[in-house]
Amino acid sequence: MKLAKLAAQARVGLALGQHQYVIAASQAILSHTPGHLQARCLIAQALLETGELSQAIYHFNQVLEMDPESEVAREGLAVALDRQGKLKGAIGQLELAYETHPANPSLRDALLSFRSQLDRGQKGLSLSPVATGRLLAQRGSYGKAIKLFDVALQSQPQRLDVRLARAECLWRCRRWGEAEDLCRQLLRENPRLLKPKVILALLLLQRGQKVVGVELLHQATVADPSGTVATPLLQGTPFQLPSFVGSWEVAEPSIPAPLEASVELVEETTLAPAPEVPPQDVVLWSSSDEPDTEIAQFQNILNRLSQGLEGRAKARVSGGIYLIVTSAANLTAKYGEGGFQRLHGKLERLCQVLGSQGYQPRLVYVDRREGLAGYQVSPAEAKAAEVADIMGRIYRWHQDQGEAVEHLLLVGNGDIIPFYHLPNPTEDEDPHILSDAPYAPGEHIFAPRNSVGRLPDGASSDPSYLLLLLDLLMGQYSGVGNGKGWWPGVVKAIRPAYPRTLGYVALVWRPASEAFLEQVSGNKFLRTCPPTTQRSWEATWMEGRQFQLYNLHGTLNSPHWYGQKDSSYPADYPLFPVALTPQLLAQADLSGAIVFTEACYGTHIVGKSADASLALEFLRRGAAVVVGFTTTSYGSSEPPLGGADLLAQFFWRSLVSGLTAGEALARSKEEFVAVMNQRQGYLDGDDQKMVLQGILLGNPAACLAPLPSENGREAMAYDTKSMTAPPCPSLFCKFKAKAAANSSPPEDILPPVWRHLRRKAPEMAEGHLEVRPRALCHSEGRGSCSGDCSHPMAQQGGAYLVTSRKAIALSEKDSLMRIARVTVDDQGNILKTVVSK
Amino acid sequence: MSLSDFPRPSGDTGIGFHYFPDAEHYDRSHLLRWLPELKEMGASWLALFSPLDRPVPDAFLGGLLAEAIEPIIRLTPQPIQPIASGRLRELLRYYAAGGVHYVYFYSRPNMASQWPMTDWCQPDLVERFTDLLVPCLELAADVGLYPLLSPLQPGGDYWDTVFLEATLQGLRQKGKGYLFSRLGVAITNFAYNRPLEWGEGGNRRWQESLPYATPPGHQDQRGFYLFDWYDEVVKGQLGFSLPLLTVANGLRVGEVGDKDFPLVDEDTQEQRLLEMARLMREGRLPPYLFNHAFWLLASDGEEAESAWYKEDGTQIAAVVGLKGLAKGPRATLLAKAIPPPTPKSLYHYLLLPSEQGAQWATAAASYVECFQISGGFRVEEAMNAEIVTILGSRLGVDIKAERALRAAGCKVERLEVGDPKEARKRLKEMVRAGQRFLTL
Repeated sequence: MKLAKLAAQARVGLALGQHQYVIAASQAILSHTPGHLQARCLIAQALLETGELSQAIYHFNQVLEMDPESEVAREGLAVALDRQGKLKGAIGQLELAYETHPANPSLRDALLSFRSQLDRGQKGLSLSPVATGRLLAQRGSYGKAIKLFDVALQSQPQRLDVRLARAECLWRCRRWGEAEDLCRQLLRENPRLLKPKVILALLLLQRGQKVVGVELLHQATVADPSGTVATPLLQGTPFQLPSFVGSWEVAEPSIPAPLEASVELVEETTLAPAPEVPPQDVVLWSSSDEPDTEIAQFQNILNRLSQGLEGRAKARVSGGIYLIVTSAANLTAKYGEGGFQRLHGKLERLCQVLGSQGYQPRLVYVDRREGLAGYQVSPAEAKAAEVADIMGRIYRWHQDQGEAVEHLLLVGNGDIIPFYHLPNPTEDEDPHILSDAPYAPGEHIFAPRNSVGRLPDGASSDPSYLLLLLDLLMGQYSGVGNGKGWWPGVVKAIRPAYPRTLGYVALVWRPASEAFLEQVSGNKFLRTCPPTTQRSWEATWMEGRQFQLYNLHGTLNSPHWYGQKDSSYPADYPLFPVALTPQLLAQADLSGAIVFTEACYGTHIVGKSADASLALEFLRRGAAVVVGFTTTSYGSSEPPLGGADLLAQFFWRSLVSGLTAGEALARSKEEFVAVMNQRQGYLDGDDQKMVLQGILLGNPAACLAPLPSENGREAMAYDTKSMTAPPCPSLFCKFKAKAAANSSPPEDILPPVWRHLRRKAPEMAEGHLEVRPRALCHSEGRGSCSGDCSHPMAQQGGAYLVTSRKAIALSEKDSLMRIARVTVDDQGNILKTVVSK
Repeated sequence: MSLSDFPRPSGDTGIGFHYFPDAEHYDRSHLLRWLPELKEMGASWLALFSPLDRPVPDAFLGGLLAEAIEPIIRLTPQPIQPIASGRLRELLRYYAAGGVHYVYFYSRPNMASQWPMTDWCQPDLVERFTDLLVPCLELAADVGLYPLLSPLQPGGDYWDTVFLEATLQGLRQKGKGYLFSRLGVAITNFAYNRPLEWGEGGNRRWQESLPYATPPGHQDQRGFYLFDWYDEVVKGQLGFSLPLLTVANGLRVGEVGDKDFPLVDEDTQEQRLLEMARLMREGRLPPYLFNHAFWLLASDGEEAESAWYKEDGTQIAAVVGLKGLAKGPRATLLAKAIPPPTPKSLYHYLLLPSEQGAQWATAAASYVECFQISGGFRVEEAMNAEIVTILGSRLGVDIKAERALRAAGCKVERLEVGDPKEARKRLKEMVRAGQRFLTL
């Protein structure tokens, strides 16, 4: 087996608690490459879990000898010492770890907790000069960071971690002579250190000493083939080190049964961690360059975090129902009896895991009597209407028992549990909307109150993909609630103080995305396409980013997402360059990420495999959740936010307030309906469509922080069960609008629309224009209006909707149907503009 | 020995191929099958795989040589390991007696996959490889063959241009400089899906390209014009060119290594292969590049997809195209014989920036005095030294001067300091440490 693949499998094994396998696999790797830092960390973590404390300590120390800044090793060492009863030693290690990684909340928690055991508890932790220097360095303020490191070195001149940080800062701020001196000095004292070796090598290469430089790099890469130290250093430089480690074969230890399904899909990877320091052209928002303000800002963030963590101590009183719904007949038809049995076993195991977290799991096959008997519901064929009916009965049954269904997880793609086909309420190419909303009934369809997710399977008859996703879902709970406090944070390596956010957006939509991201606190990383495209995208940018926003174009048939240039680019540059492909995710570890995609068809997965769907590939790479839209989606190109952009903002806000992803999606839709109704007095067709087609793929119980158990989760600010849903707002009716389209609109509304489009979406100004009068109705809010209702609010007048359409070729096989819709009053005033994503 | 003194086949067209990548196709029937095809395509060179224990039959070699096709023998044990000298001597004698001239040992030593894992992970890779290679080169030279340095993977896990530079340095440092008079370099210059002109002009033109780093908008050696880069390295080290013999090149349908360029389709493949042939035939390639060796004439194994002649009897379009090109020897642009480098009159020279010259000179005084070094501001003067240490950044003594010194056969190192004050400090440290050179 390839060495890199074995390393990846070992990591999955650790997440799934297969410690003996991890030990054997890591030993196999280390016997060939003793410097493999990742393997060394894995074996140490596994030994720690099996109680082999002294061996674990040995391996952690081996890591620290080469990489004294290793967060995992330092934390692990602290845990091991604590378990040996050496609390003071453990605190010392944690203090070092916290100074090195001051943005890690789990470290802060652990340190406070350990200190309290020595009666040295205190409310908060102040930032030392070293910790502050680290934070400043992460923001690119290298000069200020160096001054703080110098302060620390005055009293402790030999501190290795501080000297390493100083060397990196000197190098990054181009004080190359000093950087070289310090690196040489460090290497003379500690020849195994990796960081100064890499920095010195790069310095030598830059000044033409290639023979020595390349040999040094060779020594660094063979000492750390997984690139744990070198990869973050090289991020943002043009240097790309070879990943030769993947080419070696090693003997593979036997794989335990629980791992079998998962490892089939584990790809080879170098497993390099996400970079702590982003590339040079990263956009980081900073309110001030003044050092004092910056330091205060960091302290504020940490204080807020501290308060937030304290708030989480409130536990929910009762465990809720976690409903898992699928079809036995369809699974059997697709995967055969053997495949079904494997899946059934895995689903039962999932129920056990959820049960251990305090949930009340219920596994229901809609076409089998067993799970339904308790509900006094008859099984039925897994068709949309029948499934919706069964769900309605189940929700009501629990309600009658005084229980709440906390989360609903539909298992399978559309051929297992079909998507509900709703009429398309707006004017575009989609014949209908694919939705999961009707499966979680509310008072009306625009008042989604329940948390729903779908765990999809692939298109082939091989169940491996679904088995992997089930393993990954269970892995999200690995180690949680086992009484070891912060250990899951160690296993998952890096958990910063606040969610680290990634935004990848079409250049023309940058203003809208920036408006959203400005409200997002914490570490943000924004890329636009162009100039970034699939050719320059780095998978490592995605790693460690818990919230990822993709505001890009999508199409029904292409697996890619696309950016869009603005007028500053030459005419022969592609209008829609490819921004992201499933292949680009192959090297990314997206463990636990929550992904929000605004792309058209971003979560259209029917009949698709992971190779043909970015959403499915995100899940395969470990993302906990992908939220997106199943058909043409709409948004705004600039503030005020609307459509997908506004939903994304509300979703984010709900997530950081502590809601799970499923709850956050429901809440964001509800807020969206309220805001649009307030702005307009009704929901137009685009608003309706966005609410109905927004679905969640993955675990609806996932959340941003390290996943808490049900018993340990904070009380929700959003208590869906005690609130009354607002009435259904007035709705735009496309049937009535179409019927009324014969009446001529005022002549003077089109010129301002053209002018507006030329400014805001120039490529659409020449599109085919269609004018519809605004016609409202008030159906029952079930998305089933046929245009013949006689509700008093069903009336025409006041404004017009002008739609511009244009098909733009992306390739010989695929095109993008662009739609821009302008709402304009009869005086020619522009009321609203949306564009398709 | 000048380039023109190295053996070439009669009527050399410069066109060539790599034959089957195994030793199973060397009997008479194969010779009869492929010789006419090779001649019809105008081939003068053929790279042949030779296991250590199964030499290419004399009859096969004789058949090629009779038709003026020059074989290049490939002895490439895997993984890389020492070759027993007794057996090797016997084998090399056999080839020399059979009329073979060129032979090379080991393939792509700059790739981890070619080494036992534990060997790759040790420091000083190039030095250790050179230790393995030198006995092979010496044996080959002893029996009258012309050995070639091993072909490297362009780029590679250990950057190829640096690997080559370090190998040449190593040979000289081990006192094996005499080998250079019979030495060539085997190269693999696949075009991948990049335009043929990618990298043309070498590092002289693409100065921003560094090992493992090709900034956007710049080009590197990983393309057809790899030979420009290698020749620059060779000249930088030796002061003259060595023959570069291609042992595999071309481009394959479906190649998509560089995402900035479209995938290679059949039309592109045909057009570029024929253009490569024309460049060679029309004398538009440098004389130190001896030949093409299009990968791959034919194969019935794993590499069959790359073959020009397919197993089902079909051929890639370039076969017909090549047969249709004008026949006749390659237009010659043979280089004038480059005289061997003149002995240097100085051992070590400290080259100082002329701006603020007095301050630089003062800063260097203790170092110059300690090591008894010649110093000054003139590049022409520095060219007379075996070793030149340049003081200061490229703003003071620019890269052109540095390259001129290398081209003149000087070993050059640069003490990168920003100003005379920093120079004084660094040089004092070197004096204290008794360190005359930075890296040499």
